[in-house]
Amino acid sequence: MKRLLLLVVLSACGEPTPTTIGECGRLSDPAAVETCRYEMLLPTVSTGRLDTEALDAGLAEVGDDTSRDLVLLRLAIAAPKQAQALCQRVRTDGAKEKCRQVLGRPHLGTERRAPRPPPTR
Amino acid sequence: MKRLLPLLLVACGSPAPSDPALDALAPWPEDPHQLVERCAREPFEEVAITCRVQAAAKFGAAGDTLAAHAVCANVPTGTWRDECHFRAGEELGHAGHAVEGLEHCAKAGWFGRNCLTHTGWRLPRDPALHPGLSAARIAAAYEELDQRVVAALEGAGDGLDGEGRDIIRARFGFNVYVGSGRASPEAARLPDPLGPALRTGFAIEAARLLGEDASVEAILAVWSETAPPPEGSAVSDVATLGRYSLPLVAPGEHGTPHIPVFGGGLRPVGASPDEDATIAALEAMFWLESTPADTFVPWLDDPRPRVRRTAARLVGRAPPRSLDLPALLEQVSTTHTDDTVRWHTQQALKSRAWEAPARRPPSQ
Repeated sequence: MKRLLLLVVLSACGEPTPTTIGECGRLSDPAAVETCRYEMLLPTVSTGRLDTEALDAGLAEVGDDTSRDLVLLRLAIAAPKQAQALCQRVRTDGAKEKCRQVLGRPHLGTERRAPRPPPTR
Repeated sequence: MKRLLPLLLVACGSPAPSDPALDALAPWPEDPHQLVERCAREPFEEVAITCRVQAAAKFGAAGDTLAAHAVCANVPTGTWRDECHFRAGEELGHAGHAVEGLEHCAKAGWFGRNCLTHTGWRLPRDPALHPGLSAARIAAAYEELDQRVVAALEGAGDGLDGEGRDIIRARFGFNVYVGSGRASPEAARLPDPLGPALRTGFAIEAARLLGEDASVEAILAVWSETAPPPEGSAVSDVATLGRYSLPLVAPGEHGTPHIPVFGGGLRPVGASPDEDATIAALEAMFWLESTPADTFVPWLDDPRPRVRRTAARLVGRAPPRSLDLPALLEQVSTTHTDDTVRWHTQQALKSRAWEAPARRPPSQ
């Protein structure tokens, strides 16, 4: 849905619609570039397991470490179960610091199970 | 559709002068009010979410529960909304506002139970409440607290309200006695449900004050008033920390009433006040980090099932002094006539629990 929204927006502006992560950099607005990259890589975490091959291939097309780390951080927040593997890949101090907010809370990445019974009193 | 227009304006307008990725990864302000303003300007939704969670935690640490509620209301429902209330709740508890923290735990969804433990056990001690007061005065203070807790947990589903009350009651009992320098048993004779919580506190304080002379029998002598209550100096919160165990309930104990104990564990409630005092005394001896496994061995064959099962749970979790503990556990776990005693000793054998260092909660 988000991806569709981005495409609608870009079409409305007359911008070329990126079809690969490498083409996101052609967009004129820096924030739209970041979101384009993030949304291109969102499917790598959306099945419940991390598609590391697709993720690393996509990240390789993002030249800038800061942009790359922002993508990884956003993915880690969107999919806390994958945060460990995603945050291992960040390079900048700013992203490492913000990743700690997710990694320091291991319950975020646990399976949601039925609660244990309360004490019987 | 309402999200489309701002995005169009951003996407079709002039490029922003700053680097949004660099801005998003920049350090956040420490002040929660400034942080909330920062979150509102954050163009990336995911970063804005964690920004708000951080702001709610900071408001919690500052004791501002209303601001924390307002910030969490702007976090999308689901994992991060739950986490927002969890962070606010535990920070409020850490800042001495445990009851206000419980209001957040009630909204913490899947993390509600963790939140209750982190927050409820941080109920601060009220120095005006101590075992030198009449039992009626202590009971009245608890009733007032319990009413606030019930109100804070109103609407919390999934048994959280009952569990939160249990935890707060247990901490109240602990707070009245432990560290007070007094171990008069009067308040610990109050009826259920407060009595067992106070008995846990009584037994721990008696053990602490008896020091090297502490034993289950010595604590019970104070309980039965055949020995005078020990006295000593009141101590700070840090000195009230002790060894704690896990909330282990055997399959054979599921029908037995349990109450929370120091550090997140559970203990059975005795069938009578005297039996309960014995269980509390065993727990208190375990709380003393110097107590060896040997102390619990004589109680493994107690005729009262809840007493011997408590001893079985604790014996394998304390280092032995002169005992061949693995051999004893092996024997008990295969030959004891009580299935539940066998279960507890098997659990200890599996993990060699006695080899783990005595642990204290990081902060209570």
